[in-house]
Amino acid sequence: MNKISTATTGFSEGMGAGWGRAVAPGALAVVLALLLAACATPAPRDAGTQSADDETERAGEGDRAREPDTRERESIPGAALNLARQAESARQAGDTARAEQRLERALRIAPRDAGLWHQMAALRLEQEHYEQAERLAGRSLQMSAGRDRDLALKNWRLILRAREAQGDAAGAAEAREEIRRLESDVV
Amino acid sequence: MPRKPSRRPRKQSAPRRGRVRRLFGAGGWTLAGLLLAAVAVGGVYVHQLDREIRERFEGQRWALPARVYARPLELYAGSPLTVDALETELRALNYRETKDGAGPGEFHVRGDDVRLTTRPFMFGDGPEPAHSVRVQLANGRVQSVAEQSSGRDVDLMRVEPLLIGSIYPTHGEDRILVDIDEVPRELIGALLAIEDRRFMSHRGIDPVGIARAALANLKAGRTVQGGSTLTQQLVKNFYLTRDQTLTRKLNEAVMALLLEHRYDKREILEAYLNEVFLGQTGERAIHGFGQAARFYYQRPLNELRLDQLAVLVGLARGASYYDPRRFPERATQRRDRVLKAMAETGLADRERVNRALETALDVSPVMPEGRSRFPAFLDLVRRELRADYADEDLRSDGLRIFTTMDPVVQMRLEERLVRGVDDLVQRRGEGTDLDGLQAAAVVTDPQAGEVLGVVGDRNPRYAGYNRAVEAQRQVGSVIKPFVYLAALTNPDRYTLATLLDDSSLTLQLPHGEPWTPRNFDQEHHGSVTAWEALVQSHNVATVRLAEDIGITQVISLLQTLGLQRTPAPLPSLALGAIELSPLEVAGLYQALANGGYATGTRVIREVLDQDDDVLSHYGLSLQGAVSDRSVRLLTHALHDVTREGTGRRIDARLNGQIVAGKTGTTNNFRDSWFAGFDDRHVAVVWLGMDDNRPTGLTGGVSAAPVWAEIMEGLGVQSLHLEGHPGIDYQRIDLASGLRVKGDDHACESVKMLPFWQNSSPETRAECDLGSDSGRQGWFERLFR
Repeated sequence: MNKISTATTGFSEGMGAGWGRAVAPGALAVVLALLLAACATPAPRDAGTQSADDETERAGEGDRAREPDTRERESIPGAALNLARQAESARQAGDTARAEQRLERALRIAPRDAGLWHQMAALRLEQEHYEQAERLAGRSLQMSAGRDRDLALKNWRLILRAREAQGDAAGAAEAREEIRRLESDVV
Repeated sequence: MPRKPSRRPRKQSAPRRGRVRRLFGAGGWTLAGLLLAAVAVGGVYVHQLDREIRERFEGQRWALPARVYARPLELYAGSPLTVDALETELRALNYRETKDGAGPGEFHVRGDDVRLTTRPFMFGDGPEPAHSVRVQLANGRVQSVAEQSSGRDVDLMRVEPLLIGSIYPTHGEDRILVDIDEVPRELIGALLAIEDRRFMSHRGIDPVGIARAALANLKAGRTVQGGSTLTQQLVKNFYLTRDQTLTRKLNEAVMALLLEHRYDKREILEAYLNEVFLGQTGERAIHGFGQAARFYYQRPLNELRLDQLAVLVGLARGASYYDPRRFPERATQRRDRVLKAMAETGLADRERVNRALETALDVSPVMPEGRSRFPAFLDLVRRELRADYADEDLRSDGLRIFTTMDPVVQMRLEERLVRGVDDLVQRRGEGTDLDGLQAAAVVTDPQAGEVLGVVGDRNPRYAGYNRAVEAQRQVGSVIKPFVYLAALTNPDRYTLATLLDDSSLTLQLPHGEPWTPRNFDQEHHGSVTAWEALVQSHNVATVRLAEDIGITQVISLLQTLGLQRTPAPLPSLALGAIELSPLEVAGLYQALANGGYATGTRVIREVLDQDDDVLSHYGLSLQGAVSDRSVRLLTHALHDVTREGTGRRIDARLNGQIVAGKTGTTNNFRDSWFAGFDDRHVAVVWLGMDDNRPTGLTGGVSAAPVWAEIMEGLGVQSLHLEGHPGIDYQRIDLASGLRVKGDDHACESVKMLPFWQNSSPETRAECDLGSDSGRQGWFERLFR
């Protein structure tokens, strides 16, 4: 269930506003439940916006990062969510090939979902493809763009493991620093 | 029953011994010896034929072509899809439009509501059952997918993928194997009724049939009937050459008997159904009813009507003679005979037969010469396959290759490229020589680098030189974004507001000769911001920038993003003095469209063997990365290229939808490029002459409008440039590259530019007159 919740909480920044309607009622219920669960965890903060210059003019309607707004957190289609769930059960059953196929399908449906990218990274780590794991986690971080601290922590922990496995001491130290920063950044 | 003499049990011959002795008397031993020798020779002969039969029948019976499929269309609530695109896809799959779309391979469109019934299909990750669904679409998306019968929501389903081509065995035989249980009973019944009524009872040879045929032929005075059984016909097709000798006739008879002895009727019939020759087109020979159904009707066998089955059965007698495309009358007569035989034998009731007799022949037009509708894409697939598979395996092992092609994208790309180039030639026709202008284009998906469509010639059906992949052409300014990207990855030194010197420049090349880059307009623009230099494609400023960063840095960046070679570190590289194919350019732009992550381009997802096991899976892989923030800044500038820069024709064409890209024109107008992307597509267009003749066209006036034409056809999905948490926007005075606050200024041209946090210029431009609040107008300023 853990994996699935990340798939939902990492929302995408650019999907059309018509998405909510498109989601089947069943999937919507799941999504809502998971969103509620996500809200129970500390609200994500983005380090990048803290130092915003007061003279700065921002394009766009508002600062999404400081005030997470569920209206903007468009859910990913239920279909991708289900595939992610199937991928997770396949992984648990040791069928990484199947898990990979399901995740790739899910990513084709929801290519901006940070949670899916993280799940793919975790799978690659399990397959001991460390370099890929690291890059995919990086992509996940990029997709969540600092809006989901929990997911960011998971990604950095994954990057840490991947770098350790590759014997990248400097990279691992950097990852530890990021993790420390994120852990101390409790709201 | 013929058995090999060596295997005859001794017991049976024992009681006969006395009789033999009496028959031949004393000299009988010699005779017996001769007889034994004859039996032995005959035994060896029969044994050899028997071995031949078993080897062929029990091994892999046929060399099966590799099948190449497009990506399957995935349907789910929320998927981006229009009614038009769905209909295009279904028609490509030869779906029939019917009243309710309830039968397999049928669909029905009413407004935004599409009913369709798919066919089951075996994918690498398991079977996809047939679905009979109602799909509701609105605003470019699927709103719901529900079962037609129960109304229950379908979470996710796949439509069977389009077969885009095959890789045939060297002998050209093409077949789709069918299992006897999948073959319509009526087809088998009709076949037996017309070809071999006593099939179920004879033992390989049918003396009654031979006698009847002989009688009929005698009466007619020519050959009107054949007496061969299906078993003999199979043997003839399967094992023997086509020459009509006595030995061959004897072999045929013995082998037919042996085949019947070794294998049961079902197996023999199934082999016949898959082996029989049923048509020919060019070098491609159609064998078996499975392929024949596709070849003549473009549908699977089990979806054919009675009259269509009868046409196919009629072809077994002589596929060329009864060819329904060349000799429709003969084929109709033959079909009617088959239908009447079905009625006589009670296989089908009179009423159905009468209806079938009334039906017109409706074979589909023959496929155009050449082996695929999409030769450029198939060519690319074969190139990729060659890396991992031997040619022979591709031609014979019945592999199934699942590619990334999106048939709707491919077809729209073809249509729009042709239209765009034709328009261009027409528009520019006066006084220019654009005869022989060629074109190539590639469309990929940004996230995974999947190639969605490829065109390698102005005639997309032409299966020759594949310019999208093979043509190595100078890329010109299409390379410039990577020079600026290399700069922007160092935000402490470079921003889009950094001033670059565009004044006259002469460089000493390594070999000593001087090189003086020139701007397109032959003028120098003094100090310009990096933004302007890129958007207006100023050459001299770009060369200076590349020199400042170091050209090796630019090369290294290109390699991170997927460039497979190491070009010479010459300053002219910054202006695109490097030869790349449109596909390679798409590979580089992929990373720009994908947040800085290079994926390369992929055309194959999976290869399955005959048993549907996955032989290769070409998974998602991120091959290199540059910082997301620099890519974002660059994308802003590339969007401005399409709005106010060299590609500004695009904005007018696409009604302000947000896309990004760059024009490219090479020396003397030899090549015109546009490479760019929206949220869902990366597209690259190249125009030029094969012999490198100048076209007089710039990328901006030629490739850019063609690109816009294509993107419009694909349905633009605007980029989301705003809202990145790390990006701030600043008004910049383009003359000084310094900041301007508020609306209150006397600067000549001010542009809102994006900056990575804290990297925007601190200093205010001199022309910025505003106060700190920025709310004072000109009236207040009068009294300041």
